[in-house]
Amino acid sequence: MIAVALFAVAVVSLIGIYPASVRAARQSHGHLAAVNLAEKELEFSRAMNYESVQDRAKDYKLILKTNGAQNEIDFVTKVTVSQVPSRTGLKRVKVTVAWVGTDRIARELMMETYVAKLSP
Amino acid sequence: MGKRGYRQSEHFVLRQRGIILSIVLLVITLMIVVMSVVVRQSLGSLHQAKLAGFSKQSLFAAEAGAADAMRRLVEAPAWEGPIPSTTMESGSSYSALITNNFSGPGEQTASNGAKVPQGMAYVLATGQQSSGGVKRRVGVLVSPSSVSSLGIAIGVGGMVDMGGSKRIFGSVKANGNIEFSGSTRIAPVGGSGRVLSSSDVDTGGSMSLDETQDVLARGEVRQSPPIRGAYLVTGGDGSASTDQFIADGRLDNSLLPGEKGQVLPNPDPATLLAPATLVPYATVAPGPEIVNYDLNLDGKVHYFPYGVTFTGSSNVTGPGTIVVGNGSTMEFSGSTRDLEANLIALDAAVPPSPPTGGGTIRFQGNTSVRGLIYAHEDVIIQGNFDLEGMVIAYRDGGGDLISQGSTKIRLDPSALADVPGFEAWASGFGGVGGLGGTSSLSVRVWERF
Repeated sequence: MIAVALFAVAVVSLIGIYPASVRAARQSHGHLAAVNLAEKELEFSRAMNYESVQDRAKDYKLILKTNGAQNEIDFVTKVTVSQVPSRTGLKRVKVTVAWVGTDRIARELMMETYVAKLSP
Repeated sequence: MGKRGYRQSEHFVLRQRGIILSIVLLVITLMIVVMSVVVRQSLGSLHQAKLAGFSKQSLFAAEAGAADAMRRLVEAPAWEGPIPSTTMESGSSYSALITNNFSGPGEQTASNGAKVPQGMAYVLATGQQSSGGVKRRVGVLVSPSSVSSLGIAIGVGGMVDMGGSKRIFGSVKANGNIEFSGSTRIAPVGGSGRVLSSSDVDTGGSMSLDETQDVLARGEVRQSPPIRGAYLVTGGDGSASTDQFIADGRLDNSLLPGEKGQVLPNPDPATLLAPATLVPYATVAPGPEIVNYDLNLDGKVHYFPYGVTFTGSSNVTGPGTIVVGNGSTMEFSGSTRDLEANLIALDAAVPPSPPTGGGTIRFQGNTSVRGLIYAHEDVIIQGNFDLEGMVIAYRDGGGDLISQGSTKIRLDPSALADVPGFEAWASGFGGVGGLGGTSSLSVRVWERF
């Protein structure tokens, strides 16, 4: 009887922990995908001609695999370009990546860099 | 069953219970161990993902510092830094150290041990994400340069009409239409591999660009099949990118107040044809010189006032510059040629009057050129053609590039640097709105640490 009770308590508590662990794994995949998308957009901006670096937005529907389960997540990237205050020839490029995870929580990641005009 | 038998049975049951309890405890322990490994792995991967994000943001902060420093060097080439810790809007920060050896006597060593050759500068920028943690650095070696930041491989005052299979490394820009038929691949050089027309763009056949590049036209863009790769293909563009070239024959690379656009180069004939390096050819007007003999350019400017035709198997060895004048034609035909030379066809107009045209360069057969190709009328290519340099063609209201056959054109950003008469363009290629500043930079090395 004691053994059954112990076993039941252990199984129930482990069952409770497992989804949290899966959620953490999914969240890390989502975060990593967002980091990579933000990096892609910033690299993209850096490769462009200075004059062409302008605001833009793009949606990415990615299928992320976690513990064998597939989840389609919609990532929305938004690139905002502005002049660095009191500086000519220097643009601020800000990327925000927004997505809603499988846990229905909206998340956002932001990265920024500058690009310079290398001619007068 | 006797008393003794009952005791044995009770003992057996108790022992069995003990075994079951032990097994259950063991299983529970194993389950806890397995689960703790799984949980730890999941939480660890989340932590790793966040760290990766912090590291990337630190890197991009460092690159912002490098961009800031490079811009300061464009505005003030003698600037020696440093940039103190500067906080960006996101809270990330950067700082930068500069080793400016643009005018130093010899090689210098940067603070991280990087060698900085004479005539270059080294930027070592450090970035850190707002919540602290990992610092990242980038090291950038830069040198003064001519047109690398603009990256125009082909710039014409008239139209570009190219057929056949072609690969172009660098941007194509024309005041007139750009027409591509056959297979076309355009790749960026120095971040620029664009197609820009102040009129229309018309493509037939397969055409692809890098996904970071664009196709812009003031007029229409007609594409069949659709252009692949470019992130933006649009007509009706009103940006500075499709402003017309200024092609009015001015000899300096400067904009008048309120002017916008890029000034197409126009060489100063007094410098280009200066006696010190000139090899003039006596010709009878109006006929061209027929060169069916070997010619060693010997680093000099070979001037043919009424045109020149290279025929047969005549061998031209460089480096050097070949110039034709008075709106005449420079023609290459016959056997395969490999030229290390700048080829310039001038019109008869006296600068700063706008070029009236007539100076044409024509290639037939297999030709390979390393240098500048510059004409005050048209550049016409027939046959296989390979250029590492730049093509510029313009006259008053026109000047075309027309090609058929297999063509490969790769921008050499320094193509204007050592050509006499083009000095005004060797340290910049015009600008937008007459911005201040002294010189352009090009990136030689970009390292991430």
